[in-house]
Amino acid sequence: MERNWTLGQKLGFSFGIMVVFIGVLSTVAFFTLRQVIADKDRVIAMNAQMRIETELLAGKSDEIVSHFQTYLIKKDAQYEEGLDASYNDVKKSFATMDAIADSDYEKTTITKVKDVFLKMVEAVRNLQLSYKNGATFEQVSAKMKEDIIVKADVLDSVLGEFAKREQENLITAKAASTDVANTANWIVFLVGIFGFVLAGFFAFGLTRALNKQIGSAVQHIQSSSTELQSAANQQTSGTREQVTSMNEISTTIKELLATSRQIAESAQHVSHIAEDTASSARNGDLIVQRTQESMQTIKRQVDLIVTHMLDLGKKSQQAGGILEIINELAEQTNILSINATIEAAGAGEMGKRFVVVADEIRKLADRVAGSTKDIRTLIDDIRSAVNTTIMATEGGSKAVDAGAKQFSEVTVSFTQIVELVKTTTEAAREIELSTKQQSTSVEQVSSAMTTIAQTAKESETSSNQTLQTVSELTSLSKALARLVQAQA
Amino acid sequence: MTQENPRIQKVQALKEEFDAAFALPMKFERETEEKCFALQIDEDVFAIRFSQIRGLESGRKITSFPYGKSEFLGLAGINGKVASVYSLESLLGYKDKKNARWLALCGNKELLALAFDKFLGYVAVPRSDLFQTNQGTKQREYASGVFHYASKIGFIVDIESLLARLKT
Repeated sequence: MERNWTLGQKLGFSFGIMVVFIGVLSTVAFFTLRQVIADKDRVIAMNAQMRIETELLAGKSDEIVSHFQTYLIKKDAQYEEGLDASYNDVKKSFATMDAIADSDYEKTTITKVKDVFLKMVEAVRNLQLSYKNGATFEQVSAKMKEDIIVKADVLDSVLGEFAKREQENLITAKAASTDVANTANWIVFLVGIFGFVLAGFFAFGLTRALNKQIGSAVQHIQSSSTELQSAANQQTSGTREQVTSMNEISTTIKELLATSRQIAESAQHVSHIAEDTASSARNGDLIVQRTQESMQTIKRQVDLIVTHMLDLGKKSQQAGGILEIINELAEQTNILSINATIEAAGAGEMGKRFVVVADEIRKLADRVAGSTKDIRTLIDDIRSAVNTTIMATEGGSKAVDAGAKQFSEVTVSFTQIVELVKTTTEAAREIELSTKQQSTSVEQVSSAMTTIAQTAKESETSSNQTLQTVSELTSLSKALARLVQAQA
Repeated sequence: MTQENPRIQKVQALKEEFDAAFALPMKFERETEEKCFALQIDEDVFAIRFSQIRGLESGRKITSFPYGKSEFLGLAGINGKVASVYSLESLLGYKDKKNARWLALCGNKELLALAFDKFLGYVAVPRSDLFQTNQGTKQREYASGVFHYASKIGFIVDIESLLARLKT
């Protein structure tokens, strides 16, 4: 999976590579130069030291011969001390030369020189000893000439050769060192070239990547800044409208506040009225209860009247029944009288008196019939009146029942009204409290709206600044685009 | 109190009238009047002479009997005898309401009863009002006189004519 590198990573990688390369180059150059310097120094130091020691040895050889000659001449212990000192110095020189000799030739030559020197020193000591032992000056001098001076010459020749070889080595080392330095220079140069190429490659790649990324980013920034500018414009206009709306709302809130205060006052008034109404409702409830008791009493009385009237109706019915009997009796009496009259008429003269009696009986029956008719009429009137009364009473009873029922319903309704009035009173109180709270809230809202309006104005100012900033950003993005892309 | 006085006065009058009936001399049959009883059929008033009937009964049970004539209602037992009952209303041309309660007993050999519903009471008809008539309607066919009852004018039914018709 291709890894998407960030700009920083790319830059870091590129610079890291460059740093590493520079580090490598520096290290290579450092070590190369150090090697060169070390070699050169070594060469110089060693050869110089070798030559110095060689010269010292040469000098010490002469000094030893000189000291010995002087000792031979003067026979002063001081010159013996000088010989010892010279011997010590020669030892030091040989030690030094042994230490710095790094080639076989040098070691061999130093061994050889050391050998010759030792022989010479030995010869000198022997001569010295022999001189001390009584050898004559001339013997010692002759011996010195044939032995020590020869050895000294040999030593000088060897040392001269050695010095010459050292000089040649020095030149060779210098040349080698120069070659190494040149090689190092080439290496550094090539590495530098490589680094240059690599840097160019990375620079190219980085530039491309940067152009790509930054260009893309710049384009995004441009488009975003354009959109942002548009949005800022909208925001500015929106903020302006918001400020206007806030002002309108603030005005409306103030009117609302005035209205809510009026409502609060009205609610308070309503609450007082509701309390008065509740009190009246409670009084009315008592009256309703008393009236209901009265209605119940009236109903009982009406029921009693109905019962009595029904009894009266029954009694009148019974009277009517009796009257029917009387009427029937009268009718039968009439029939008897008629029949008696008819029979008496058939009896002839014998029945005439009976006819009279029958007539009287018939008249009596007629009177009875007439009276029963009157009585019936009366009873009918009574019954009619009773029925009417019963009907009226029934109607009244029903009306009373209906009235009682309606009054019960009225009582229930009134009780409900009392409850509702109570509820209304409580609600009115709550409304009064709520309107007061509302009034307070509206005041707070009004204050908040003022703050919001102020904030909206500040927001408008901020939007304008934002717009200005966005415009600058757009300009910057265009400049950046021109930096990244020459034709942008 | 004032309403009770007329009642008390009437009672007193009835009592006096009854007592007078015993106190006064007997009044025998007046030859100028015909003893009748009045009856009502629909809105018309009729009378029947005592002399043409054998008696008057009421409330007798009439047993229906299948017979050809529509006026025949059935048979009734009266004083141990079986009477053939005819509807006076039908005989006089009225619609029989089938609720006859009164029976006027007539007939010489066999007992017949003429049934009618509404009995009005005794009426004395002057003999001058009796006549023979053969006027158009059936009601008047059997009329043998007129009389006044209340504010109405009624006809006296000739029972013998009716019985003669029944025999035919």
